[in-house]
Amino acid sequence: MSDHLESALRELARDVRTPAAPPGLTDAVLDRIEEGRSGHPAARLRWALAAVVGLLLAGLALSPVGAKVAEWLDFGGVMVRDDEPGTHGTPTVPSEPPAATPTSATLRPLVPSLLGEPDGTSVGADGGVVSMSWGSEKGTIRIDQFDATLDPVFWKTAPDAVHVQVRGDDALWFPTPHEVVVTPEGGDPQTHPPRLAARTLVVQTAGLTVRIEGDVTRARAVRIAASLE
Amino acid sequence: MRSGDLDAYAELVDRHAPVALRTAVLLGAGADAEDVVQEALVKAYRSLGRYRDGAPFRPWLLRIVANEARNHHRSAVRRGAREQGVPLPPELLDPGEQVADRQRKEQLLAAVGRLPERLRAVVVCRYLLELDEAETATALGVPRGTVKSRLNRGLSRLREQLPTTEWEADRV
Repeated sequence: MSDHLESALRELARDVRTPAAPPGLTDAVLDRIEEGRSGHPAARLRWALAAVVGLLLAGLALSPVGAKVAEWLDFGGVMVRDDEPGTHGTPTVPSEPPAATPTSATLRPLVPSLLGEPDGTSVGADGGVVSMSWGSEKGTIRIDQFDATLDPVFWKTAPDAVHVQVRGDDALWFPTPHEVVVTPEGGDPQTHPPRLAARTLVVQTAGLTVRIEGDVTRARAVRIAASLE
Repeated sequence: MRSGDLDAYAELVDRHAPVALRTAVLLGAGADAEDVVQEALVKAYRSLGRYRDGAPFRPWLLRIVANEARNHHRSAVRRGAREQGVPLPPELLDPGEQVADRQRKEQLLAAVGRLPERLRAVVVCRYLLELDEAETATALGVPRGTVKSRLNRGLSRLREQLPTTEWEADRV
């Protein structure tokens, strides 16, 4: 039987205000799920390779540590060095291609269905690197991709790269801003001044190395990467 | 939903986070409700294998939230002093209300908070979370008959505790 108490309780349901779900909740949950999957703190890779990079540049890659770096060279053209992180980073919008157009690319670039068509696209001088960008009020997301068998194109300086998986593909997550140097094929990274990059996910998929850069959480970066097609 | 599909799960989290948070607050997680919900959502993902396809998702999820809120409350009680019931803070109510109305509601909310845990959970689920009997049974992991009897006991307890004049005035 419905009585006053029950109707008062029902009324209370309308009056009781509880906090709204915080905006970052979903990402926080997905981040934790992914952390649980990649397992343990040991999955966190730490690198002390600054000196080794110098050795490599001199062509001496045969030391035991050098062997570890060689693994990185296998990671499709991305070279990582554990060193002095920057303080903040912003992805740059790819410059408008003066001569080259997307059709001159030597590779067929992937596009993340999660982001839709890019606002801007540019192709490196030799057609080997395709860059795209998406802008929104939340900031810019930049994606570069190139043939994974290239010599290192991107040289990164990051103290806390984390190994993650995207749809079974290996990927590296750079949770903090880091310096990145882009070199043309066969070029010398030392002649190219570094720029400060935002958080970045680098994934190797379908024979390409794709780097996704922007002010995104790891979970979102992974979701963007998983939507590449 | 196929377990392992993070995008689909992200949508579920977006959709159910508000009610999960409300459940955690009202079942006693208080200021830690956000942590409790986060923990519950991570556990729910890992338990998706035990979720029966086609069953309603919300009560299934709320069961995990309720468990988590209960565990949290118990460990808070262990850390602190004796159990004093669950404080359902009057800040939950709209401060703009008429003073008399507000006092009456504060009193009722406080009385709900003082109920023994089992009765309180049923009253909260049925009235404050507006779940039906079957959903309440799933969320609390008890048979429907138990929901019914606990609800009756909870309501009688509240009637005993609250000033008769407030609740039965028009019966007199």
